[in-house]
Amino acid sequence: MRATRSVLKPGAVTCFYVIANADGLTDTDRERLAQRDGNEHVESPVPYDMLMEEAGFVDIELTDVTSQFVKTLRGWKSEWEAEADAFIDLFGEKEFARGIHNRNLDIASTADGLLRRYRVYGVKP
Amino acid sequence: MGEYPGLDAVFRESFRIVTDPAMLRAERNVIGGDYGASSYTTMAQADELARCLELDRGRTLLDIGSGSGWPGSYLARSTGCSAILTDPTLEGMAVAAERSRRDGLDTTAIVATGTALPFKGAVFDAVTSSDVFC
Repeated sequence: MRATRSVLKPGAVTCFYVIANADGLTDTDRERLAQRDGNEHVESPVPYDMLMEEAGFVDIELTDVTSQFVKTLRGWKSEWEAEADAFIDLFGEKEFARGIHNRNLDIASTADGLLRRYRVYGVKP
Repeated sequence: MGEYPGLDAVFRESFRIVTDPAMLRAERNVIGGDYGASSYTTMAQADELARCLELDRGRTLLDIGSGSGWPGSYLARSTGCSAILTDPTLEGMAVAAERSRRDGLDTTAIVATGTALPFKGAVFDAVTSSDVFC
């Protein structure tokens, strides 16, 4: 985020999507999430807007887009399963299995309230 | 690339994947794009980025971790902005550059990581990324 800030003109904006652990998790919950494979995500004990603030952004807005994330996870999983032969041909059996497994884990992690996807907005002063 | 047959094979494989009919079908059904991406950013969410970033002709966007050009190339095409696409993978950037060339876009694809951006000073009007800050 600091690297991003350094290349933005003053007054310019960053807006991006990020998968991160939910706010307010206990150490046990964070450990539980970390032990699951799943897709890569930001692991932080502090809320994402604080990370943005620490990186020097202002006017920060976080929008929770987790429900759409779950729909997209389910969509990819269902498309891969529907055309399993084609995707195994493209990525190999191991990678195909890993793709399905990771999406299942992320769906479970969002259902358990451990994982979120946010749209993050911030302005460089 | 002719002098590097290993690289040719890598690029051929990348192009095979991103242009595979099953891949493109799935991408259209799930996120609405046809860039060979397996992103979680839907087209509606990419349009939301364009709105938040106030992208327009004359503005320069940096897309970090752009993979095969999603959503950076799409944003350049839909808003008319200039875009610099970066990704750690040479294959991804080769695919993105080819797509931009085909679409006649004002984009540049650069192999780079988000933590070591090869730009001096504050030069961008907007910066975006999708699920790359891990």
